[in-house]
Amino acid sequence: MTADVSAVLVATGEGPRAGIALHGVLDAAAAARSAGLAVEVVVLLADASSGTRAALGEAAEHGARLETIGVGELGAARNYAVAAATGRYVALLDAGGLCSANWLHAAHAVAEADPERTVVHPEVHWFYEQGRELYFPPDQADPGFDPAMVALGNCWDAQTFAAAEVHRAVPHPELDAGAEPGDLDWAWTRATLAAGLRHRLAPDTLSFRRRRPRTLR
Amino acid sequence: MSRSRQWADRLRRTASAPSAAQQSPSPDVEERLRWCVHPRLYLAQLTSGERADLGAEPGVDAVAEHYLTHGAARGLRVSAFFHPQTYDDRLAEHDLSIPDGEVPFLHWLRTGWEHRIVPTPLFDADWYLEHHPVLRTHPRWVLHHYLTRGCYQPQWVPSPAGRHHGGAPDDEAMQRHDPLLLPELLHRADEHDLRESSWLEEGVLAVLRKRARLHSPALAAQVARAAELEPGLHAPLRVEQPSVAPPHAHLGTRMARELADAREELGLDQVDTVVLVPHCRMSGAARVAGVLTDAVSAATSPDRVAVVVTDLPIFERPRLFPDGVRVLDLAHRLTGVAQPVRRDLLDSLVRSLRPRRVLVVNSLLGWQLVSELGAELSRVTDLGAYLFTWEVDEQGHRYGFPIGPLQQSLEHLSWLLLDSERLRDEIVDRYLMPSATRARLHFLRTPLAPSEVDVTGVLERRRSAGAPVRVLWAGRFDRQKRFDLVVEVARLLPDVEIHAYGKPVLSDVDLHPDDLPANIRLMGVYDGFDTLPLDEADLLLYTSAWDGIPNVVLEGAQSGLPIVASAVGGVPEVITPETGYPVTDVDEPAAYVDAIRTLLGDPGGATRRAATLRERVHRDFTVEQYRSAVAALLGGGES
Repeated sequence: MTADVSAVLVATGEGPRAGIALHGVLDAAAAARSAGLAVEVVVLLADASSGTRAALGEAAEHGARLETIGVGELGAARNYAVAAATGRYVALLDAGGLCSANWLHAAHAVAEADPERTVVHPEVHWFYEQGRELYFPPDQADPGFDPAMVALGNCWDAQTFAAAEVHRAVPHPELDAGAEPGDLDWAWTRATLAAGLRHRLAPDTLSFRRRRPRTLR
Repeated sequence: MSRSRQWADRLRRTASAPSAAQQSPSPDVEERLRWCVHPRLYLAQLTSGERADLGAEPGVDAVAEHYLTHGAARGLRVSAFFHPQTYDDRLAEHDLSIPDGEVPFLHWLRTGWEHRIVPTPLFDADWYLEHHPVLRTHPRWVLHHYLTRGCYQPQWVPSPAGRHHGGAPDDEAMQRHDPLLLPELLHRADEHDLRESSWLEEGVLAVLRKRARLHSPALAAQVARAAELEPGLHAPLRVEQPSVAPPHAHLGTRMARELADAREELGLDQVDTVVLVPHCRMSGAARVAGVLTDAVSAATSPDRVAVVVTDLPIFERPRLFPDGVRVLDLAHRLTGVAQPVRRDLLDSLVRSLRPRRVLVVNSLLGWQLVSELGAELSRVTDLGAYLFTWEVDEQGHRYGFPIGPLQQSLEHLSWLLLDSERLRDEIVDRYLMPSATRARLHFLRTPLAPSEVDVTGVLERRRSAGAPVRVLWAGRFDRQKRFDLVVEVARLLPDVEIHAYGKPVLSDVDLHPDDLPANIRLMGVYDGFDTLPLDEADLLLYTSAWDGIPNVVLEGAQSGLPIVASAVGGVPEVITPETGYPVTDVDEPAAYVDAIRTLLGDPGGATRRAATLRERVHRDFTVEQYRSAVAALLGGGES
């Protein structure tokens, strides 16, 4: 059976906190199933550290499908995650973060309005390592939004929810080793705008991460 | 009566509710008004005729008086920190209201202030205290600190929506009563009724609404559930960071518009050459930027060249640049923007113009662009830079573009242009530079400005006529130029008049005209060396502590004046014992005195040296040679 949503947790060197991220994805998947969606949870170990592998070692016992690749570059890993997903929609999640429990079904509801052109983001990004820091990404439908600002800094990170076809049409760039955290998300943002995609927000949803990337400004 | 007293009286008479009118306003209220007046915001609401009536840069007193006389009754805003709707809402929370006929802002000054009502969304007293605990001992209401200090200094964060500006300091903001957030507040001013609100205030209100959403049951429940898994997300024991919420209250949005407007202002879609200059004021580098631009224009076409002003919004000498070349004042549009956004904006602008080459002429931002993003940028355009001299700090240590920035940029530069051979040799030697790199270093003799002036023999004529000995000195009264030596020379030669032209530019020395010897006359600024009364001087004195080949020496040489000059930098390439009177003991006033006495002791010999010098510079420093060298550098011209 083809899933409605593939929730793919991409893990590299996050260590024990990857377990918390997986817990959050499983909760979100359960909530989405309660709302009537067929959800598969995939854990992708992308050249993962031993600590990360240990943290996620029993993912399959929680109903997740485990995939492993020897590449740690996040762009390549995300593209692999999309290729490995069976769902009509793919939610890319990061093992260093935590999604709110309503994320999958709320994002699905937004994407369904225009699945071929929509990339969905949480309403609130909540960073907490340096003290709580709230980031409210823009909805592209906001009349004050100017796409030119993306040349000066990124607006959206890549913890996204979009149709698998969208991800395949606009693959994630694969950057060299010198790229800084957030550069990949920024590059993908620019590519999606160039491709005419629309970035929208799912109300009442949050993403929690330790640190705001430099490029998200 | 002083102007401040006039508006204080006006304040007492300005329309207010009958009950309030009976009360004589306290000096406190007058003082509060003064703290709150922001001329640039007020002027933005006036007609062009009203602004003209007020003068170019009216001060706080003039604006306060105009506001009380005209603006208050029309509902104009004189303070960036009074938002009428916010005041109304917060006043209601205190079960208070503004009596009919009373001006809301004046009501706040009299009444709201006493109730500690913050009348703006831009400031949050609790946030301010939490983030700046040092202010817990501030002797007044904490808003007073923000009004009088915090809004003019970048380190103070007034609200959960952040600083409201890009974070760049402005040392004169406080003096001008120009809060750092004003560029944001005046952004898209044509889309807002500034009497009521602004782009910035609407944006901050949007941020505050988004933050308030976290208290909604749905979001609060999600947060609580996530915190079960990750208690650390509440970041206990740490203060909260400001929220960011594009597009509102977000620098990138304003900058995107500024960039688009800058391109439109330039009126060019694509150019061959971009010349980056810091500003255009009294300096030799500005003149070289002009002649370089002229040479590039001659090799291509003026409409294929754009000059971008990057560091300071000053362009005092447009005549230095050829007609037809577009000049873009990017510095003005970058007001209030800190790094790295400034650098990134310049990068975006340069890339959007798709030039074949970018030439940096003393632009600090340009050097930062090349050193930090040069690896990427040099893939799409050739990068070049001009070097004149290093600077020297108070301890005598060299710094400046030929030191750090060159080291970080050299590998990205297709050419490095130098105005003196000595600097080229010094760099080659220091780096043990291989031949392939040396080949990218080009010494170009800065061409003389066109001038018909020829005062050859003036010394002999004046000595024969028995005129008083008069020494000419011209330049910036800055530390580099060593005007202190001129003062000592004047004291050692009390019978010699020294006429000094110029002005302080960097303000890095204390110069008190009252302390100068009587035989020094400050003659004020000049516009071109050839406009000086050269036939009324016996010689030119040059005293710089460091330099390339200075324009003033070349211009003196061109005129036929005998020259006494410090033998620094590239000066010995021009002033030799055959052509003038070089002073090698450059810090010693007596050495200049000896040189001047030697010169005056042999007017015929001095005239011969000056004539030789004049002939050489007219032979070697020509526009034709310079243009030819630049054209060769560009590959023989453009299609």
